[in-house]
Amino acid sequence: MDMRDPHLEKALQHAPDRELQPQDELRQRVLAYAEDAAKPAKPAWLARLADCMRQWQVTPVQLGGMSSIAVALLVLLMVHEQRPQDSEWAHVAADTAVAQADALQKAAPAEAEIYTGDQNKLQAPTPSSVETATSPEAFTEHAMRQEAESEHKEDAATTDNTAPVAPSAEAPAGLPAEQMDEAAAEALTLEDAPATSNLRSEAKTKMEALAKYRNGDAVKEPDEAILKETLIARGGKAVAERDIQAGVLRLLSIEGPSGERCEEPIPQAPQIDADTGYSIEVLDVCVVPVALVDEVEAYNQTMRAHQRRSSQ
Amino acid sequence: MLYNEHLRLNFLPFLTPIVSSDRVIHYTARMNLDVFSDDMLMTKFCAGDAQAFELLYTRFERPLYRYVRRVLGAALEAQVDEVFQDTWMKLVDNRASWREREDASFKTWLFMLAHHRAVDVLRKGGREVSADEGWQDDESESPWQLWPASSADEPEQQAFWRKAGQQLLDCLDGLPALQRAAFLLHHEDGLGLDEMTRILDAEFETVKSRLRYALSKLRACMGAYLPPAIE
Repeated sequence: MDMRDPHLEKALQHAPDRELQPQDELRQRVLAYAEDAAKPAKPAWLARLADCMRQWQVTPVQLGGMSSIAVALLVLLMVHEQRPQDSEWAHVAADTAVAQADALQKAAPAEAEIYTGDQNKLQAPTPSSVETATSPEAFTEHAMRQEAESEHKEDAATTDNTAPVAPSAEAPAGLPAEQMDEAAAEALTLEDAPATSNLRSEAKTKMEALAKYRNGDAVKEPDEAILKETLIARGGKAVAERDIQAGVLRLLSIEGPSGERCEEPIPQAPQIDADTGYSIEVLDVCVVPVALVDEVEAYNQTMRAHQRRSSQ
Repeated sequence: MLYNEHLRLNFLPFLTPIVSSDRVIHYTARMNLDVFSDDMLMTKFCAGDAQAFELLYTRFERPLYRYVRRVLGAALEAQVDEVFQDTWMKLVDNRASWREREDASFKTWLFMLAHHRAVDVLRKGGREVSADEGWQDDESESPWQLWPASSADEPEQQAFWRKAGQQLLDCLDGLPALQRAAFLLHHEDGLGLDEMTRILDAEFETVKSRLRYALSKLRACMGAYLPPAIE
């Protein structure tokens, strides 16, 4: 339906506001608004970031620089937090040493205590003079002990000289050889790399000896720590009788701490008992349990009795 | 100028040269958007084509601005820009609803947004919107008195029509807003009564009556500028 008046329509077409139009600024504003709306939607956080950048007049290059600095600071802070302090290294070493000492303690009876009795019991009858080894067995043991002592002296300054202990099959639970080896290795600092390799070779040798001992291919304990555990577990007399049957003739001697710290090595010279002619093996014990003293005495008495019988 | 809103499927793409950073000239095809109807351009804009919106805006910039200016009248001339801008921005913001509109054309929707915004401004400005405002007949001039003679030359006729146009604008200012809007939509923008019902948000008969009143008053107001009755 058309209700147009042609005259009014023509007058309208000639109206003076025919060329009326908005200003350019208004036009650009509308077109820009539509162009922004036509773009794909940005994530809200990105839109807010763009607004902040516009507000603070921050260029993308400046924003990238600030972000890099912030990331670098964060990384430095994380590294600083995670890096252990120097004091912690000593603490770790101390903890390792304590753990190893605890392992040894576990092999001893619960009431183990420092021996305060007759100091003579701690040592076998000492010869009037130190005699050099004459028997082949004693010579072999002497050579092995000298080799071990030379390695110990290299590690004396900075290492924990409590050697890794391989537990015996029947001994109470202690740290296994692998863990002890690793614990001993961790207690060392980086400067002790050569000592670490010596320690590992020594541990490897002991492991082989331990394997032979467990398989029954060898009677003699490969390590004095195992010997100590065996003495306490089986009894000195039984161990002596076993050694006698195997032909291992020796006497045992307990040496207590001789230095300011237990981990300092006790210098040992090869000794031969003047009465029996047997070699004297020294057991280095930092904390001397009473039970070990008794078993060592029992062991020695059994050996002497055997020597007396065999000499008759 | 009113654009043909019938759909045309054939278009004329042409190549646009683009020089890349390595000084190699690439050619890209760009659609000639002028052949698209208003509705198709709006659809393309909804799909993300900003150029389609720019063309739509170019087509309706002046007609819409004139409509807003005339509906608001001389008293609210200062708010014409605001209403005009708000209309386009609201159209952009609500473009998602364009696809749901099956009964209204783009032009109808655009003028509806503008009309509603203008009415809001009129109401806030204290201008009476719906009531018929009476006006007094100007008895000083005789009807058709100023109608040019048939022998008048073209410049004289052009001068007459310019004066008639100015008179009409003055008469429009005297009309109630809704009658004014009805007259402008029908005579200036070529919208039919059905489309006007959507824009004015009124019944068909209501739109007719408003238009009838508007014509009656304007003819009386324009008396001296209307042709003499054929005797």
